Amino acid sequence: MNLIKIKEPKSSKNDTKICLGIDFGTTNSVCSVKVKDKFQFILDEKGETLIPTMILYNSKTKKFGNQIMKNESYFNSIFSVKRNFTKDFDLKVYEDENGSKISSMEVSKDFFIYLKNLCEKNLNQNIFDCVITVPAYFDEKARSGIMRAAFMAGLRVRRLINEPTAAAFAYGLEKKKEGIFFVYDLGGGTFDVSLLKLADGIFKVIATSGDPNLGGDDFDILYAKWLVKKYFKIDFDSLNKREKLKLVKKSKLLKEKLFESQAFNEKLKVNECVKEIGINIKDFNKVINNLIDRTIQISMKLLNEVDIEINKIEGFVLVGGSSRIKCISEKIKENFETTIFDDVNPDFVVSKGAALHGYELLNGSDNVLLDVTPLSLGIETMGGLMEKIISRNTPIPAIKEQTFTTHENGQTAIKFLILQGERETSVNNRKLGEFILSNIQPKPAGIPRITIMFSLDADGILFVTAKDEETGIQNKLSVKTNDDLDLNDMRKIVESSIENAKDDIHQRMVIEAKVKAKSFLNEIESVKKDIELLCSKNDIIDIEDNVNLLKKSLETNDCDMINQNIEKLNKVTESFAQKRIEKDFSDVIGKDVDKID
Amino acid sequence: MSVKSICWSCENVIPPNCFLCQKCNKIQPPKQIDEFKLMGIPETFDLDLDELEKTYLKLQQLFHPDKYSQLSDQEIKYSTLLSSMINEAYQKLNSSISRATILLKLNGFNRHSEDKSFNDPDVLEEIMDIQNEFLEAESSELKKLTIQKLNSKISETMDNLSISFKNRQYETANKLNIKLSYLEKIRIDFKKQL
Repeated sequence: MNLIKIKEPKSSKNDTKICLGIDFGTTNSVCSVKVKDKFQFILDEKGETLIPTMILYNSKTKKFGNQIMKNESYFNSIFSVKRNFTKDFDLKVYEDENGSKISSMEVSKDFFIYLKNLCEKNLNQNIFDCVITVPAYFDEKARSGIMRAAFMAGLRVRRLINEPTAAAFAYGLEKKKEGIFFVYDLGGGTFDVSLLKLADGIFKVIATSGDPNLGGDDFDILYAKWLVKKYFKIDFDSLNKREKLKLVKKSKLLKEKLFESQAFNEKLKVNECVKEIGINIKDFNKVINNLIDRTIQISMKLLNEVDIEINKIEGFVLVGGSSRIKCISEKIKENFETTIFDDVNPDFVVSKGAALHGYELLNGSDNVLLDVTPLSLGIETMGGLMEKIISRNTPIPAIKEQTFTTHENGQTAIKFLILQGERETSVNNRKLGEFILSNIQPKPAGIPRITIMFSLDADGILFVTAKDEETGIQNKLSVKTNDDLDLNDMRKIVESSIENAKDDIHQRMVIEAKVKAKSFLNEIESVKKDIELLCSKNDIIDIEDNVNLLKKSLETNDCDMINQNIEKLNKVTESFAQKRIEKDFSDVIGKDVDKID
Repeated sequence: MSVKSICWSCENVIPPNCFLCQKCNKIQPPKQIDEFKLMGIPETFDLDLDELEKTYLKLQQLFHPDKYSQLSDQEIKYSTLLSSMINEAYQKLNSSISRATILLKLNGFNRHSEDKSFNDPDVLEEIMDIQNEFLEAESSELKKLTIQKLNSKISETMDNLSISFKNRQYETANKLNIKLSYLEKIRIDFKKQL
C-alpha cells in the first residue's frame, strides 16, 4: 500500500501533457512543442528545423524532407502537395513506393507519419496530440481534408487554427504586445491577411481575407518563365515537364539567393544549352510586381471593410517565408502609413503559435483565441442563387438557423446544395456537398417548414442539419470526402485506437479498419428501408446479425477481427446490392421517384 | 413560466441565467434567453461598447470550447453552443440598429410588420436629399463633406432613439430605428463610392 502511495504524486502532478504544433506548409513544414514550460523546435535527422514538404517514393522506399538529396531523384519528388487541398485531393494522381496509385491526401498522411515519428524520436516518447495550422482562407473541404490526413496518420487533432492567428498568438505572447495588428502572411502557396486585436490574454481576430492559391511557388514559376523567354528566347510552356520542374526549382534557388545579394552571375541550363546570365533584384521585382500588387489590394480591401482607421493599427507583422522578399515591405510602406514588424522569424512563428496553443488546450490557461470564418456559407435556392446563412468574418463557433419551404405542390423531398464563397450565383462558389431531406408530408407549395441549421465549430468545420418541423425527420451532413465518415466519427476512432495499440503501425491499421467498417455501417444504415423492402426475412436477420457483429468488433482494437467481419457483412449484403441496382434502374425507367427540387 | 432546471451531472438545482452548476461546476445546456440576459447586462439602449466588449471577452474566456477540449463530448457540445450564442449576442448588441430591434422586440414591437408600411414622407425626403447631394458633389472634398453631414444625422438620430427608449415611446423608437438603418445603408454605400 505504502509503495503505491509514494509513486502516485509523481505521475499525476508534475507531468504536463504534450501537444505538437504542426505548421504543414506548402514548401516547408515546422514542428515544435512546449514541454514543462520549455519551448523547443523539432529537429530532423540532419538537425534542421525547416523540413521541406517533399516526399519521394522510390521502388520500395519512401524519403521525406531533407532526406531527399538534391540530385536526379530530387525531381521525381512530390512538391507542394498542400496546394491540391483546394482542388480535388482524393484524385489518385501519385504513385507510392509499391506502385499503387495514391491521392494527395494519402501522400500528406505519409508526410504526417514522418513528422510524427521525428517528434517521437526527438522527445523519446509516443505522441498523439497536435494542433495543426491551416491557411486562414482555406475553405471547408480543404480544412477537413488536412484534418483527415492527420487522423489517418494516427494523430489526434486537438484544434485546427489559422496560420496568421497562430503567428499573432506567438508574437503577442513573446513580445508582450497589445493593440490592433495586421498580419500579412505570404507562404509558399497561400496568402492570408488577418486583423487581430491583442489585449490582456485575448487574441481576437476581427476579420480575415486572402488568396489560397497565391504564394512563393507562383513567383518561382513566373520568374522561370521570364528567364527562359529573356535569355533563351524559348517559350516556357513548350518545354517538357522535367525541364520545367528543373527550371522552377532553379528559379526558387535564385530567388533565395536574392534575399542575400542584389546581383550576381549564374549559369543557367535549358535543353542542354548553358548560358551565364546576370541575375539582379530589379528584374525579379518587376516580374512578380503584379502578384505583390494583388496582395496589397487584398490588404487594402480588408482594411476598408472593417471600418477601422489605419492610424488605429499598431502595424503590420510579416509572416511566411515569402515575406522576406524585400520589395514587399517597401510596397507596404508606400501604400499604408504604418509600422512594419519583422522582428520574428517568419518561417517558425506559425508553428510556435500552434505549439503554445496546444500546450494551453491540454494544460489550461487564461488566454483565449477567438477566430472568424473566412468565407460565407449558405445553400442554393431557386434560380441557382446562393442564400447566405453564415456570412464571412462571423466569429466561430457559430450556430445559425434558417427556415425554407417547398416550391411545388405535394413535394415530398428537397435537395440541399451546401455552398461556400462570396459570389451571388451558386456555380461560382465552391460546392461542399448536397443532401436530400425526404419523407416530407405532401402539402401545398410554401406550407412545409424545413429548418436548416449550420453549425460551425471551433475548428472551423461545418456540420449541417435539416429538419422537417412537422415530422421531426432530420438529416445530418458534414463536409466530407468521398467516403461517408464525418470528422467527429474519425476523431472517435483515432481516440479509441490510441489506447492499447501495440505500436504506430498497429494503431494505423486499427484506424484504417475502423474507418472502413464505420463507413460500411453508415452505408447500410442509409439503405435500411431498401433492405426491408427488397430482402427476405432470413436475409434481413442475417444482415442484422452481421451488422451487430461488426459493431461489437469496433469496440475492440482487433483489426483482423474487424476486417473479417467487414468481409462477412459484405458477403451477406451481396445479393441485396444486386437487387438494389435493379430497383434503382427500374425507378428511373418507371419515373417512380419523388419530385425533387 | 420558468421551470426549475437541474444539473445534468449532479442533479443540483440551477438558478435561472446560470451556465455553470454551482455545486459541481459543470457547464449546463444553454437555454434560449435574450441577448441582454445572456450577457448579464442591463436592458438599455445606451451601452458602453468598450464595457460590452470586456463582458463578451470575459464570457468567452469562461465558455469557449478551447476551455473544454479535454472534457466529455457533452460538455464540448454545450460549450460550443453557449460560445456560439455569446458570439451572436455580442455582434447584435454591438450594432445600434440590431440592439434597438432587440429592445423593441422585448417590448412587444415586431419590426418586420412595421417595416412594410413605412412611408414617412419627411424621412424619405431627407434621405433622397442627402443622396442627391452626394451624387452631385463634384470633388471628393465635397463628397467627404456630405458624409460628415450624414454622420451628424446618424448621431442625431441615435440621440433621439436613446431619448425615446428612455421615455418608453416605442412607436417613435421604432420609426427612428428604421430611419437609422436607412442612413447606415447609405453611409456604407457612400464609403464604397469614395
